[in-house]
Amino acid sequence: MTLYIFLTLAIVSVITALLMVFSRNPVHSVLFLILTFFAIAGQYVLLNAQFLAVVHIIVYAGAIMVLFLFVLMMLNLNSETEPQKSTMWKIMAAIAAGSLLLTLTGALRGSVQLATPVQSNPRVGLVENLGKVLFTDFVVPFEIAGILFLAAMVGAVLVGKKDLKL
Amino acid sequence: MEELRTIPIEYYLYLSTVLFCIGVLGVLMRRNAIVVLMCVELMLNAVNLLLAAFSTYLSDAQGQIMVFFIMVVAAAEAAVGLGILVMIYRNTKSTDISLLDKLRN
Amino acid sequence: MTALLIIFATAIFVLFAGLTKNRSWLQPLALTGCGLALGVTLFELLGAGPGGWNHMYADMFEFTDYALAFSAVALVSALLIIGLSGYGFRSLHDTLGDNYGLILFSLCGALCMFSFTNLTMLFLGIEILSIPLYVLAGSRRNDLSGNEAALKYFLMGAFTTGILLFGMALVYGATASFDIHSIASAISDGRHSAGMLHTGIILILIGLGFKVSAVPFHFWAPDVYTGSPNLITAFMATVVKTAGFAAFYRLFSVGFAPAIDFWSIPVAGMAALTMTVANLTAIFQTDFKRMIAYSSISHAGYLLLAILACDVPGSEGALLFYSLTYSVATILAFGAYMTIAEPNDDGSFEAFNGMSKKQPLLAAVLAISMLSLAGIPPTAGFFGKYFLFTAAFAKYPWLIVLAVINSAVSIYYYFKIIIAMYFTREENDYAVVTSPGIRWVVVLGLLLIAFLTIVPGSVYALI
Repeated sequence: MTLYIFLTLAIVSVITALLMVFSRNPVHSVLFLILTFFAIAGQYVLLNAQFLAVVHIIVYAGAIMVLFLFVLMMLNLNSETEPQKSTMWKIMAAIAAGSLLLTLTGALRGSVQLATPVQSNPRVGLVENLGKVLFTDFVVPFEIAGILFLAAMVGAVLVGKKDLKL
Repeated sequence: MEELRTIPIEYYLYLSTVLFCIGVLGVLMRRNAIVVLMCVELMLNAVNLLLAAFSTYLSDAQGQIMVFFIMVVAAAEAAVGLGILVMIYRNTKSTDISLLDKLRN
Repeated sequence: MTALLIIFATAIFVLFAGLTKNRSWLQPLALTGCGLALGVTLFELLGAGPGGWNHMYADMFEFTDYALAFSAVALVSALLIIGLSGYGFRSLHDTLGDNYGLILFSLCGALCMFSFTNLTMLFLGIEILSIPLYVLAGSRRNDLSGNEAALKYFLMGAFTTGILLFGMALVYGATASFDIHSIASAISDGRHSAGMLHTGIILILIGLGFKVSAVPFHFWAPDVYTGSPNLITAFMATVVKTAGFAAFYRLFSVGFAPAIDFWSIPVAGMAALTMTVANLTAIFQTDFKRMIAYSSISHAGYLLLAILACDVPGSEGALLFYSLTYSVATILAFGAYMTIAEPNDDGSFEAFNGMSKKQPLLAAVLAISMLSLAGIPPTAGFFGKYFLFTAAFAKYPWLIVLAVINSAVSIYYYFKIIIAMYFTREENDYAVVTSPGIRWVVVLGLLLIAFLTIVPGSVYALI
């Protein structure tokens, strides 16, 4: 049963990702990408990472993709204004990405043996456990991420500001 | 949890590799900078999926914590990147990356 | 860590100070912060030790002498660059505080990259270093080439982050840890799956190769360096490069050290390609900034030698010394370049014609920094190359021969500038506009180069 759910979600995510790449209209691309994100959220639930799934939906589908959609609509981009690369270039890109896929799967094939712990803990992905790890072991990266956000915020404001002559 | 073990970890590995490569394909193929940025987001999501899968199979929370940091960075990058794109759109009325090839000559 | 906190606090102060009407004290404020941080770092490095910071917070960072020494290098570069900023930022008005703030934020990221022990910290450090720079590259908002530089830098950076993270995820899967010491012990114990580990290392190598602009992942660098404002280019060519290589070295010499037989082959190939391609391309450049961009790529090739020789004692010192001499020389070159190129809007080599008569001091500084970059004895750059090449010679003699040939080739294009300044008959009527700030920086930088030339061992032996 789990396997079927996994396969369904996997197929959905791959197909929507491909549609995202190939659709001419950037707005459609955004919508397909949101579908991909939902399929990935399904995978997270399947992996017992419920909190992650919720955060993923809120952050990606809720915030980042809305930002993308907002910018696309503000700039009024659609399939008529969409620039296209030449067919030759597209074939080259497909060959490059295809060979990357082959190389990666070839390198990874049959090599996977995880150091599986003696006793697995199904509560790993729960808020309680994650919060404990985040605010004890990972408290420094957590604070450092604050610097990152502040820098990004200042940067985004600086880029967006209109020039004022004082 | 025991039921989960019916899915081999390789499946997650292959799925995220495929998603990652689709992202790379999009980055190489598309000319609209916003779509390129979306493909980068897809690449980051492939990484997130892989990390979450490893995290569960290793019973180790670190992987999921890393996913949170990747989300932080993805959000910050999207904000800055879209800001840069809007700035460029103001100047050129386009988000086509190949219009901006003046420096090469 | 103290330095990081000081720089961050300074950044916040500068941001708020930028809101006030009087902006003349922004630069002194930023300089004070950097100077204070440098003082604390040197104090910790030379005697006091890093205080109680190590082994707190689950070993996320480790302030060894290595980290402190590289922090000092980055802070020295930042001090010199901020010293030049009075000139470089003179046309900015309402965004001056934001620009200083972003430079300092970026410096915070660099400081994280020197001391990380956890891949999370490395990743966040790289991002904190890069994200403000994407914006700074395009900080002249109406300038199309600046816009292009910002977009290219941003898209390349984001793409690279994806590759780097995929590598990190695979390494995590293979070794079940993000901590570089645990990764190393997992690799040496054989508790890992080789396929995932090796794929991960290669992907991380590609990601870091993009960040330090090693061939074949260098193609973005010349465009980005040319399009960005001069001051920001100086920052990218020095602080970012130092941080990138320090992190690269730390990750590969600690975390992936047991797998050295695996990754040394691609790194050696990368080093050989980087040196050769960059030097051969630099010969044909006619624009100073593009030449400096290719020169910085070629120096990345030499610095890769330190990573290859990471198990040889003394390679850390060689990397440190080389980064310092390279950074100081590059910043001095930019200082001199700005005074002639910015007022006349001409960055070609001809702009330097007859500069020795107009500005003897700046011309001499530019000449010395070119000699140092070329590695002509007895300049500091020569000792840098000497330390680096001797460290790697035992393991890679063929690579060192190639490196020496490349250094000889590089003399050609560095001397073009010197010839234009001193030996060209045709003159131009370009005005050279300097400022007291530039003269101060130039004198300080010259003193530093003189110090490194006279007692190179003092820095080399620090770590």
